[in-house]
Amino acid sequence: MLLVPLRAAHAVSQKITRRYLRPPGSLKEVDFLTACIRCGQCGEVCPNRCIEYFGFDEGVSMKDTPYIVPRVKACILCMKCGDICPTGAIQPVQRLAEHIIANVDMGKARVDENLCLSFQGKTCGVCYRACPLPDIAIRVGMLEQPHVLDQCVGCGLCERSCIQLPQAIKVIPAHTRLG
Amino acid sequence: MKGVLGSNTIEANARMCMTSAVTGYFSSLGSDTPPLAYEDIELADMIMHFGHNARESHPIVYWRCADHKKKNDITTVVVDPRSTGTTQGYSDINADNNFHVPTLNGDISFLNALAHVLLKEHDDVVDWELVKAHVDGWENYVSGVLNKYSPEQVQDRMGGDVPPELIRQVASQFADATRKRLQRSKGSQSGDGHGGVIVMWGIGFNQHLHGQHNVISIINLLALTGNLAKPGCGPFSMTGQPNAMGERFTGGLTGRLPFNQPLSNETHRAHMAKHWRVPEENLIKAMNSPNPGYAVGMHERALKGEVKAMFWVYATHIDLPDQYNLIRPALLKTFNVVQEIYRHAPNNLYADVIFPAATWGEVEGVYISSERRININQKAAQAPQGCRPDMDMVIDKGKEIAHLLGLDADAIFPYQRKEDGSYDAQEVFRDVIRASEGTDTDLTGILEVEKIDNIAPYEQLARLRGIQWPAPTYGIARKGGIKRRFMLQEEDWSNRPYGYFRTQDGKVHMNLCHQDYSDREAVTKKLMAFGQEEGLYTIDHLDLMKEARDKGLTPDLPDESFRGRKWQDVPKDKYPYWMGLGVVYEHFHTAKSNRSPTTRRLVPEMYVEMHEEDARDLGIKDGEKVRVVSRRGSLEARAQVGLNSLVKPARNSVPRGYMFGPWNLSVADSADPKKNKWLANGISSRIWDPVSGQVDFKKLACRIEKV
Repeated sequence: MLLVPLRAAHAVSQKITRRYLRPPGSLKEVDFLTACIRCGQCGEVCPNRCIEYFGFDEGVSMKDTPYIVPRVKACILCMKCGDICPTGAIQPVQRLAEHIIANVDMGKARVDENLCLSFQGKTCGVCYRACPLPDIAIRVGMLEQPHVLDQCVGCGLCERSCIQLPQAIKVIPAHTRLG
Repeated sequence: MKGVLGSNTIEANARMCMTSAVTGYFSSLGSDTPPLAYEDIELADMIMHFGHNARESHPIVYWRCADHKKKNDITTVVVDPRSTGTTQGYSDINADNNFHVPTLNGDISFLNALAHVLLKEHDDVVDWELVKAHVDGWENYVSGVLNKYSPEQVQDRMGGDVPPELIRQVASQFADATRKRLQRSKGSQSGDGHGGVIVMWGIGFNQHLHGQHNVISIINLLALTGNLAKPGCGPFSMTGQPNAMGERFTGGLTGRLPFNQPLSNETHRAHMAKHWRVPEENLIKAMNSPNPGYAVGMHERALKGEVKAMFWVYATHIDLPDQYNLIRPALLKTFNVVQEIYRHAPNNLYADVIFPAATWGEVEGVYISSERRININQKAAQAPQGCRPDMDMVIDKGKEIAHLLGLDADAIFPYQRKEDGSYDAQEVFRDVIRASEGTDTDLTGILEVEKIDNIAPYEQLARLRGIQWPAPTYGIARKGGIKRRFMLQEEDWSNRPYGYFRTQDGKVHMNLCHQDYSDREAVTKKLMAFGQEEGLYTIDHLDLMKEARDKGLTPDLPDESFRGRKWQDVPKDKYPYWMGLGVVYEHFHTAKSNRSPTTRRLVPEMYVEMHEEDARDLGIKDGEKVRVVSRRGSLEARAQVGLNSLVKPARNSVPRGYMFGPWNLSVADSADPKKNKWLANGISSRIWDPVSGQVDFKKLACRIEKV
């Protein structure tokens, strides 16, 4: 059985091209795939109904693991999934700003300045206004231009709210980070 | 309305928004004309903002000013009782030359005090040349401000923390900015230099029962210092919605005719009767049919049974002031014919007949921006079946009514339908242009260009990205219209109806406006009776409106001595706090934008900004639901306490004793008016400026209760 998780980690780098996030408080991808028992409770308890589950298309090792696509529905950081997860694949995190900033790493938002309206001479700032941690995760400068800060936890509310098509701000998932 | 029906009871949303600017411009300069262009922003040395949270309400202009500040380090002054993102954004760029002046209702006195300091301590920037040659009434103004409006003398009227040092500081900056212009024109006020001070103002400044006087006070100050009718300076009124000037230009207000003339102007009336192809008697009848009180008066007259029917087009009429006591009862009495784009619009609840209308993007037409630029609005989509353009429906109504009244409907409305059954807006535009000949807003150059160069008017607008009126000749129209007005900045044209300024005598009219709080309580007490007593109508008390205006007062006065108490301990007949209604960035005006999932998610519910100490006194915690109660009605809202509030958006600070909430969410609650708890104008007062007709939505007295 120990071979399954190692193969699962290998499978991740082989098969998935879709950009997805894990729930807030999740362990690193390799450890997450080991710990997650695919019980489905995190998605059931999520009041925002943003947690979805992989099917067979992404491979056996991913099947029934939870994921979030922020552009479809972002995470509101209610932290209920971590409370209910029976194995600690999603760690419980207190629903307070300092704890969330310290312990949640779903990814980090990145602004595409070629798409972002505020960098095209217009003024927007919707992403900043959607951010649950304004001036901590995103700040705005001239023309409401967004600048993502280090403490962004990657919830994706900015990406969900971006009024540009395609969205000018995207969360780069933690599990795609090199190293 | 005027030509066919002979009715003078026609009002546009400008009445709630910016007729103070309109009537201020008329009084001082003789024409409803912002004399500048947006280009002047980059030429200015100092920009002042009165009464608008520009960053939220005019973001494009704001960031243009901020960009200029960043590149050229100009001084900025933000006059607003709240500390908003506008002033914060400027301070982020350079806090040393950004000033926040938190006056509450004291604008006239503040502006007069600036003039006082300039005359006393910065005489070198007073443009005596302009003043003595081109200004009428300056002697009275100068002696008045010198005698009665020193920074120390006006302290009782500032309503906020505006000490004499701050007034002197702002005056000093004002003088320095003016000096920069003088330097560029080598010391002469009438040289070729550009720059100086631009004063922008928004709806918060206009929405006073002394709104016209507010605007006159700005123009007085700018005229005194030569910051008028030159590039890079001047009085720049910011319109509230993109086509406010379109309504004003076409005379859609009580007593007005198109092209900036009143019904009472005999020559112009005859001119319009000819171009409208209507009997002049109808226009004379309109002129002789008073509509006292304008938009507010219209509804009082409805309650009295004088106004029996109304046409509504394209606004949310339920959102007029004093909803519960005035507007709703009035609308329930009248026969209402509504043109509306939404099935669920609140107007439809009061409609007896509903005509579904096509909306933006589904019609072609023109609109006019703050800098007098006529822009083309192109059609991009087909309207749903059965929805017709507003213009078409108005034309058809006009035809039918003209026919019923025995007039020659086809002569008055000679417009042919296109293949798809709609009228050609461009054809109507040509008709408008022809009628503008010889007037202040002469556009006939556009037709000359069409004749000579064979470019249709709409095509001209598209190619030039709009044309600024006036455009009276071929040459001017080809260049895109007149960029700046007055003091002969325009080129000459043969039948130009004015000289240096558009007034009868060609001069700026300086009228000293006053503020006097000496018997404030007694007068305001009378104002507060309206909306409370049955059968008491403002249109029967014009003298009281004038007195309140002349003293620069507010429609309510809060019972300040009852501040500091827990909310349960405030008696039910006391209203200790100020309450202001305004806008929020995420929503636009009344109804439409709160149907968008994005904006609705960003600001989902009604909130009221509260100072932390006031909330503590009251025993209200951040996020709790409260009721804001005025003498006339109440609304429910979430308490947003301080800048770290969990209630979005939390980015503006109110001073102690003042609360603020948006009116944008008014109709976002229940469609049923009996259940809707967010009807913001249920609390507002109907007291109006006797000349501009505007009401004050920002200085209402309220009590806070926990729900």
